[in-house]
Amino acid sequence: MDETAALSVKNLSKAYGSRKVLEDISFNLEPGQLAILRGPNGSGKTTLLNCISGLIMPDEGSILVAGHDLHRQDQEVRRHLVFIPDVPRFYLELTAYEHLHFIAAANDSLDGFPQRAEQLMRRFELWDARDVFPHHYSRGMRLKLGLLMGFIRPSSVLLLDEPSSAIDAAGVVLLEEELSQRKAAGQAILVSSHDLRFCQNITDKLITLHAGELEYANSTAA
Amino acid sequence: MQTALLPKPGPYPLSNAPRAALNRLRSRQEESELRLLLSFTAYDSLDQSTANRIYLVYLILYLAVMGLGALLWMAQGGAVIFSLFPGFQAQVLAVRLSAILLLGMALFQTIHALRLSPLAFSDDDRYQLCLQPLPSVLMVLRWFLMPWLKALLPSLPLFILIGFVYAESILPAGELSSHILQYFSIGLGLGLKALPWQLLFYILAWAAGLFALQRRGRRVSWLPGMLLLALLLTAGIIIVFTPQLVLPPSIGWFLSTLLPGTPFDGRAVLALLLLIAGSFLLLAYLARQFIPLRAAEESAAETAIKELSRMGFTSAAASLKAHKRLGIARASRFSPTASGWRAYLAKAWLRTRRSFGFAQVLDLGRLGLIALGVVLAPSIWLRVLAVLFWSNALRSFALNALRTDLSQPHLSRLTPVPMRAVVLADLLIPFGLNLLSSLALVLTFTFLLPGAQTWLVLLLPGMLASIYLTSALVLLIRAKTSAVLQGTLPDPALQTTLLAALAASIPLLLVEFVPASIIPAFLASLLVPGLLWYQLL
Repeated sequence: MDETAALSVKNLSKAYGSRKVLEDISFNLEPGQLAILRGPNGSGKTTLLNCISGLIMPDEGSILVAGHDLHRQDQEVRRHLVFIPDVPRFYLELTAYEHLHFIAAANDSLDGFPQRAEQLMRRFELWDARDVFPHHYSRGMRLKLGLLMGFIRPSSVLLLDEPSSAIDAAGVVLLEEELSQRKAAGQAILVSSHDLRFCQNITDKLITLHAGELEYANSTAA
Repeated sequence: MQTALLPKPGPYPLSNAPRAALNRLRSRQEESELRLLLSFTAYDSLDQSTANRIYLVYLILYLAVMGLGALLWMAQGGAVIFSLFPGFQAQVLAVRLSAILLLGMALFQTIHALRLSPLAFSDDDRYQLCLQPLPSVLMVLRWFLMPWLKALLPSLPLFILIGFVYAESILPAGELSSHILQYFSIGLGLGLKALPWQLLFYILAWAAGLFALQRRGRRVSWLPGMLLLALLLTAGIIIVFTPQLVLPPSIGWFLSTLLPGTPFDGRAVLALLLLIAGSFLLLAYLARQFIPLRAAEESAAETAIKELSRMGFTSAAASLKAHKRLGIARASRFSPTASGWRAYLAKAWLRTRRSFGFAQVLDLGRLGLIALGVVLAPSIWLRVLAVLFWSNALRSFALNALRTDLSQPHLSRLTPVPMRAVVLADLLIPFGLNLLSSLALVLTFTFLLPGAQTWLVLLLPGMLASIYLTSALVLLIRAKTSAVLQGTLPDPALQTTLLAALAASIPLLLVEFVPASIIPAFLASLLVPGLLWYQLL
């Protein structure tokens, strides 16, 4: 295990009953690295992200986030790791702005919150709809809000599941810019995406899964 | 070949096909509505066997006999109530009651139609039916039948009941069997007489609703509806407050259509039928401007809520209701200073503020009454039984916020707040509200009732805390993240109720079975939740 890595996955396996979904997956992600997770439908990408984020308990293997063991130091891991699913979920009674406020407050990062929230929401064109309840948002707007909920709080590792799937072209460009800045600031980013062009200029690593097995995890020329 | 892709020129509709399609669709919808109603009586409408047909005949006969039996039984009680008004003729009382019932229903239906489109469409209708260029007049008139019948179904027995009560009052007591035909003709006759009136008011309510729908957002949209409401209210006030129903002969003959036990007045019936025909024409005229999409926009959510509730998907229905109640947007009210675990508390407070309504007040009152039952129950076993009811009734109120947080694992993992703090934040507000309302109710009643064991009130906070914490603990143990990700959050009702009741009953059992143990019982009422909290850590 590489304890200096932002994210270290070692011998990870997961099965649902007799069906193996992930088998002996190992890879590292250093601070400031952006990796793209690829693979056909059903290859285990979302299960891998769910395992890394702690939502699903793997059968075997270990995961370190910023040097903290996922299953022994859960609270520390949650301070460092952000996972944004492809279909973000929201609280019924909170508006979009209140969601950002809640996440920032719960992470004790309210310093400069109003300015940061306004800047992010304006950038992703959600500012005018800040007081709207997210269930009235379009699919793309919901995904953008889910991303902003991850961006509004500090983190060392960002996991994103299909972040460009429902966002318009201009939004995708903005997202790439945002990820590029975060990468430059030292965040490690793991993105699952089917879009071959997404982040192609800033990708450091390509991780490919096939039928639950790691085909290759190599560094790519930026 | 290309012209087939374009709409045909000329006025629409060109053929009977759209009408037939509309009729076919509506018939299917009515049929499926009927099937669903029948399914509640365990009748399988797809089973074509003879045995099933015999069961249907049996079902109809059984429901008719049972319904009639219930009406006859209630009529005896009604006759006793009629006899309490010796100054009034039974006929005048019956007419008044019928008129008040009719006007009350008309008021309700008009207000409902003014608030929400009288034609209700589902989300499927919205995207399939409402986008087609179908004749709107036919659509309105064709859609009228089923809602009218559904409104008639509960009201008709009430009019028949009034008729039976009248018959009970005027026919010689003890000789009803020899007047059975007269008895039934009076009762069923009043039902028949009320029917055209009910139809008339229902058409007028729809007409007002259509007018309001077309002009929603404009100032005059409610005007005809308000006029109708004012007329109904005036008529109601006249009927209730006029000591004897002496109407001028010019309109008296017309209103005689509601008199029980008299033959139909041909003139009056004709006039009533003409009124119904006129109101139908008005409805058809207004239907020309009817835009189905506008109706669907208003009614799709309401229809979905009804469907989900009917199918037993109560949490999905509750979430849709919440969407409706919250509206589209609200100004931000999140506490600007709460951070860390207090952010969860601020969220819970905001959630309570935005979801608190009449239903929650009723809930708190109901829970307070059960707590009162715990204190006032005359024996220990009745008290324990009351605690069992209490813990079962508390479950959903207590765990609502926690269930929401547990069902959103993606969101809770975005924060480093430990689960015990989330539990505390989510339970604190409902617990506080519960405790305050229960104590207020229990203290008021125990001081009013001499001999009540007032000191038992001391045990309530600890018992309540035990129920809350046991319920939370069971839920946490049973909620597996992998299942939650699939959208399944368990509701271990029986387990929670039994364990919570057991934990909360400990101080009560101590008081009962250990002599002079009021102080130990009080301490135990605090110790049990303390131990449960320690377990949560």
